[in-house]
Amino acid sequence: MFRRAVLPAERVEPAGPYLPARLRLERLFKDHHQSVWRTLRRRGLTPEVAADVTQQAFLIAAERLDDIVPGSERAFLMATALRLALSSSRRERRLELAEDMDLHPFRGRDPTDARASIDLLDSILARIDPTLVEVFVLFELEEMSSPEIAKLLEIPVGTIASRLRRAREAFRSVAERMERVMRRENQGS
Amino acid sequence: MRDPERLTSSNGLSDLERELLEAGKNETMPAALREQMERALGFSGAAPGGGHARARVEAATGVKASAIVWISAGVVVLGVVGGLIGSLAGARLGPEPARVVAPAVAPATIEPPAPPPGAAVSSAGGSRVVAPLLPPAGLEVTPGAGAASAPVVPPARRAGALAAASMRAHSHSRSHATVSRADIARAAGTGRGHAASASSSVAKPVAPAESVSAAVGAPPDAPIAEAPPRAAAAGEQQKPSANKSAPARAAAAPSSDLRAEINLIDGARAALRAGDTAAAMDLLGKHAVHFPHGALAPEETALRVEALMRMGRTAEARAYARRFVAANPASPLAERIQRLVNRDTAP
Repeated sequence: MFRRAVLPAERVEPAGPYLPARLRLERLFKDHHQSVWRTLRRRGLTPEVAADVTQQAFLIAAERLDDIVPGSERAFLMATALRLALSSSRRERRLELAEDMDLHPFRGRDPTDARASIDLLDSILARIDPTLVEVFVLFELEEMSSPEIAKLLEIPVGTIASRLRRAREAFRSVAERMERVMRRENQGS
Repeated sequence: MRDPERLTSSNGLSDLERELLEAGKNETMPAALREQMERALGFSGAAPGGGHARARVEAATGVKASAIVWISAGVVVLGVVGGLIGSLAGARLGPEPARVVAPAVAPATIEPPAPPPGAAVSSAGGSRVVAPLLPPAGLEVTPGAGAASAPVVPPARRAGALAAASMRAHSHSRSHATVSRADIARAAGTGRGHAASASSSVAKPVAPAESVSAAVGAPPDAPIAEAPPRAAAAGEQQKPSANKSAPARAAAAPSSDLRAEINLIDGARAALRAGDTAAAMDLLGKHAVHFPHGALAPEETALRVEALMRMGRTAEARAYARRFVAANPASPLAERIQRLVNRDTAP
């Protein structure tokens, strides 16, 4: 309130503003790009589109670097990326739970093949309500705390807890169902 | 409130579930994509591309890379001339010094500072305009709103803005990213031209000697705005030339929510005026998604009502109008919205 008004002519550029901002960004990128990208992937984006949106999120972070409170960088990036993903409307079609589980790609899946596991995971998540998936991924996979998630998604912590509970139930029930189907198929063949 | 235990650290998880969760946790971005992104954002660690290296040199020295190129070209020429003189002199002694010429010539081929691929920059004095990736024609921006939003870059922001500008300077190297940039530019509406000019005012470098328009057949449809003179402020000279940032600037992120809101609403209004109700509804939808409680939510409703009326969806329009008027009886827009709905009711 009592801040002295600064006339334009008086404005003093901070010494060498270029480098620290830049360094901070590079740091931000190094620390968080994988996490942001992964989260987008779990929301059903292809690797390329996820990289695209991640890049976009970092561009926005660069613009708003001064608004980002130290310590909340990841939350800022995640929130931005998720919002971008939502608006890009290029999300892959979410699968309906009722839809026939096409396990064709997973038949004879090699358990050591991370790629196949990822695909299976994503196909499970694609059958769960996206708002639940969001919380599930941030908490279980990116290991963020619920207050952190609550802040970035702008919903109460209590809601996070209930969504997480429902997400876990959904995840486990879909996974179990898939497991059953796969086992049956393996026995059948 | 304590966090519950993570699933992966709990018992009672099936092997498959555990395996899937671990796989999801450990997935990493393919190196190729990461490098591409690092290059695009202009970070070290990426294989330095032409523009990247140049930006770094400029950042470090404050001298235009083109000048360096010319200086080094001059040195090379001197070397060649010297070599020739030497070889001429040497020719009298023997044939061998002629070899000196060959290596001296080779670096000269590096000289032309090739514009980055996809660079579509038209440069005219200070104001620069981006041609590609602009929102569809038919959308235009109310200059007033743009002018209001453009110069709102507080000095404290500049550090970030500088970095942003230099990041954008590199982001064109991800060519496949253009789709999403276009999307986002569109999502942010058409104020882009102003946003762009705002950031150009921050990122404006010393006058570019190079950079001739490569935007063939794509006349810039962004409103041309003069870059404010403060761009020339001391301390900003050291930045990489913004001419490289131009193509990416179309995708520049709004530096404030309000600006993004203004862009969306202005875009929607322009689309509506142009008779493109679908585009208007699209932009209004984006506004609703991004800024459900935005400062311009009333404007959004007013435009939505107007668009719906125009599309003949009067029942929906009335529903919106009723809700708005009930919630904001004192709003100056309430009367306008009411009028919009009533207009077509009257026979």
